[in-house]
Amino acid sequence: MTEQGSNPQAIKILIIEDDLIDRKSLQRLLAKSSLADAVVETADSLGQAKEALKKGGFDIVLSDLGLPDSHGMETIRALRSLVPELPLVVLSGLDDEATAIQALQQGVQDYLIKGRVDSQLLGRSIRYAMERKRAERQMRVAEQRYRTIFENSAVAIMLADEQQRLISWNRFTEQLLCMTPEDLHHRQISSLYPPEEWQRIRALNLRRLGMQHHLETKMVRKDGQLVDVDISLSVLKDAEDRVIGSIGVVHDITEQKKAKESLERSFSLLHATLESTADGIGAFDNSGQLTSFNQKFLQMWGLTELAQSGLTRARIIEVIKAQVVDPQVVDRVLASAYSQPEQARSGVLELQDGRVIEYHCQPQRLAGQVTGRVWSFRDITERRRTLEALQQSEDRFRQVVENAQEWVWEVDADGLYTYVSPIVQQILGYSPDELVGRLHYYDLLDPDDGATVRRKLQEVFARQDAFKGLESCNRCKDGTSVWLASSGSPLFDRQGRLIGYRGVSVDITERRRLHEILDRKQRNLEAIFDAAPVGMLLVDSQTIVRRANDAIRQLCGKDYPQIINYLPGQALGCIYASSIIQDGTHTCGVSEACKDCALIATIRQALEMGIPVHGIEIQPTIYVDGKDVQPSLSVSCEPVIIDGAKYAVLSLHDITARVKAEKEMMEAMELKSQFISTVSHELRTPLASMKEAVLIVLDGVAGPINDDQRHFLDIAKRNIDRLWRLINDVLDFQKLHSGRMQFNMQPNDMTKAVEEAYTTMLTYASKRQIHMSFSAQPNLPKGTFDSDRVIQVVTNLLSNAIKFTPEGGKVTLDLSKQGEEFVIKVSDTGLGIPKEALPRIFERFYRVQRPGREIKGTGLGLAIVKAIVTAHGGRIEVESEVNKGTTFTVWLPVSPRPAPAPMPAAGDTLIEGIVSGH
Amino acid sequence: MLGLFKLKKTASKPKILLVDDEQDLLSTVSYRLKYAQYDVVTASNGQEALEKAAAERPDLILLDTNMPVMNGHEVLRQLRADPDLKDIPVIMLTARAAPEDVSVASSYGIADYVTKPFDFNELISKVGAAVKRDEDR
Repeated sequence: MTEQGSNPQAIKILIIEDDLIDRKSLQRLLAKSSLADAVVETADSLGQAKEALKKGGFDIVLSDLGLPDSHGMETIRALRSLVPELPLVVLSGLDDEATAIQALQQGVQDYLIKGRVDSQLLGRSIRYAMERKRAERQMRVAEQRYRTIFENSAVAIMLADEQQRLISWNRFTEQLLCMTPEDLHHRQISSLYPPEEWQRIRALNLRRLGMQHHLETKMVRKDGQLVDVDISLSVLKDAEDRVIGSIGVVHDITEQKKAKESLERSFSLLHATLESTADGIGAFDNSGQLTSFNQKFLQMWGLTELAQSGLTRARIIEVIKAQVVDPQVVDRVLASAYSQPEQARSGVLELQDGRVIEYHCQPQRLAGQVTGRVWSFRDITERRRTLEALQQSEDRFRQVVENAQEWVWEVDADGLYTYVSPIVQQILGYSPDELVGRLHYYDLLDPDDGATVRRKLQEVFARQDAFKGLESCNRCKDGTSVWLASSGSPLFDRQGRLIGYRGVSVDITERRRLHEILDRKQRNLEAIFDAAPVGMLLVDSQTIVRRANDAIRQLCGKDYPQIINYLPGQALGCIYASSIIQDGTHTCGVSEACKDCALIATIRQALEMGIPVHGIEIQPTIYVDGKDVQPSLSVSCEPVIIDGAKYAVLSLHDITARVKAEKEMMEAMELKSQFISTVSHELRTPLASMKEAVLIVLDGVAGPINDDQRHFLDIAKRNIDRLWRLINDVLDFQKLHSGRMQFNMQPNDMTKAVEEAYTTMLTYASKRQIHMSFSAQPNLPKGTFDSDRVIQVVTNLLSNAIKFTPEGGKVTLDLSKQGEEFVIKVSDTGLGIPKEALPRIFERFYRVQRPGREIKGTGLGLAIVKAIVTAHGGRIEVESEVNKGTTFTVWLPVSPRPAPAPMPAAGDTLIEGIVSGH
Repeated sequence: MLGLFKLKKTASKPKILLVDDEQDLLSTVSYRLKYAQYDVVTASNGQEALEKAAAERPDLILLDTNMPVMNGHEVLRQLRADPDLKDIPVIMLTARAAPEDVSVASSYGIADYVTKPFDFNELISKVGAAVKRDEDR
């Protein structure tokens, strides 16, 4: 049936016409028109047309209305449903305006009257119809895309009219507000907000000021429940800046607070349907007389009334000029049209009332002569508006898509990208051109992680399901990885076949990274928590154990299920707490014995007062492995706030072994002490007899003795005395050491006591040829001290001074009072003490190393001196220079505080013992 | 030379070097030793003991352990290292009775080990035995 040579670029036209003459006439017109190279097929019935259309490939259908197997509108409807995508131009012999309008309403692109069509009109009409259909199709696709996003969007989008009634919304709106379309239809938007929030929104004066607003507010669900939302409000205005409604984009931030990305901007939904209008047609002869016109022409230009009284060209031009925005345009159009009568003209006129009229004008010929001009006018106001609105909407959509953090994409059924929004370049580094038609979604997936995601998506594609929040690791162009969360929904063609998916993806790399860091930290902390050698319990404000570590399990011999969600006493296995929760009541802390429980008190102090407690020692009786044990526990409790709630971290250190060792150590020390005391006392008795016996012989009581005898008895006596002193030192030290030394604190004369010590030592000094002197400040008051002990101190210091001073040296003793203290100073011109030894000379058993000179002693003297001085509330200091001399200074309070504490210098020894014992 | 030395030895009283830092002990013990027909030389520290040993060539040394300047163990070590003095018998006379002290001293080769306080008759017999042993060599 092809009647023309095949040109692949050529328009393919199907002519449906049962009348052979009309058909031929049409083909002839076409051949003469600008569409001369069009490929034309013909059909003489609807049935034949259907067969032809099934093969496809047509660009336009020209059809008569009256066919053998179909008539009138029926023909249009049949064709429209068969090939909705194809433009359809009706060629009818019926010059009836009602039919024409009806046909246009049915979606016909043009309605031409047989016999009134010339080749140019026909060509133009066909091109025009195709162009219009194409525009319509494009708009529909665009609108569909917006509609999908609008519907699939995870934000609620609502449109209200100028009366603030809801006129459009997406599915998410229904989910958000838990309302049905019936609930929402024409609902006053004020009823969606709590009254006070509505006042706030009104106060923004959005409609008047016309700005876009972004605020956080609350909305009311159907059940009255409030939902936190983040809302963007903007007004919709028409071309004259009149408010025609508003758009609200609502984010449910109750659900999405954790996700930080801002999502959507506003969308606008369009009402995009092109409205067909019939042409107004007027034909003028060369004299300017209106020769022919249709009703539409009159209606369009308001000429109906004038038509009664005759229409001249000048009159018509006058009327038209009166209506257009710029009358000069009319003059120019006319001048141009009539100056070149052979040329067709077309253009657009803008009217003052806002209408836009498209005009076409071409010469009317009769027998090859131009006899006049035919003008056709088409009201394209609506179309223009629709186009503008679509343009605006698309602009807005583009802006939203291009500015949003979400990447909008479409893939075909194989996963090949068919559309990507430009943001993809920021996210993945690929430009849209590099993706669309070139790469599949799975080409971007990370090689390691991708297989699982691809399998998952293949399953989703197979089921044709929508998907949401699918996380995948994707490889950027530069090789780095980006995590995306994607949602998408399937796209179907008319036959319901899956043609692809459309959706959005969000970059969640940073969010995942933060999560990973947090996870890792959490795991590290957990590992530390579990590995800590100290038992740790995390208890909540109800003192219920929420966490426990391994050391706790070891301590109480239970597993986590018997520890977690119990009270501490139950968890530990305290015998006063039952491990069973009776009648929903916990049983820790309720018995009489619990009143004094240090553990409970500690936790309460931490929880209620927020005060940390450290190092409380408790000895609970707990039931472990079938028997009662009493471990010694060192308890610390630290209050903490986790997610705004009060908790306490209880750490339990099992110090049973240490406590036991301490106890044993104390017992051993006590035993040693007693032993020393006993032995020393037992030594004194025989020593006393020895001394007495020696003295009897030495004093000549038992008869005369010769010089040799005296010499040896002197040796005996001297060594007995020495032994006596040693025993006394050991006893004194032991008493001081164990805190058993009794001090006889009495009002005494300090000068007298010091002088007594001085006198005692005079003999020794002179024997060693040391010059010793004593000076005392006069009229010193009486002080409170143990006289014997002070004498012991001074004697000891003098003895040391004499001992360590070479023959011929000097020892001076001085007593004075400074403030409320006696000051006793013992200075010598002796050997001095090396600097490094100074800090240690008061330690017991410490002896200064003196090469070449070993001077006998126990190493207890200065330790005893210091102990006595300290017990009196005083202090002792030493200054010394080697080979120059040494000065000891003792400060003793005139009136010491009552009950001077005998100081056991035992503490450090004890610790050493424990440490080394472990 | 050896014959001459021996001759000299037998001709006079055995000479004992008594070493102790305690003056009273030197006084009483030397009195007793002299009474028991020994020649006595005293020293009150280790250094002095070595000097006296070299100068006096005693037949026996009674040696204390705890002394200033040089202790008894060091004296022993140096005596044993000196070819002229290494054969002089030594009896330790010390307050240190711990087994490790005895074993340190024994490792240098000693004639006997006497702890303070001591029975003088016992000491005299041990001194006699040591001197005799030395003479018999």
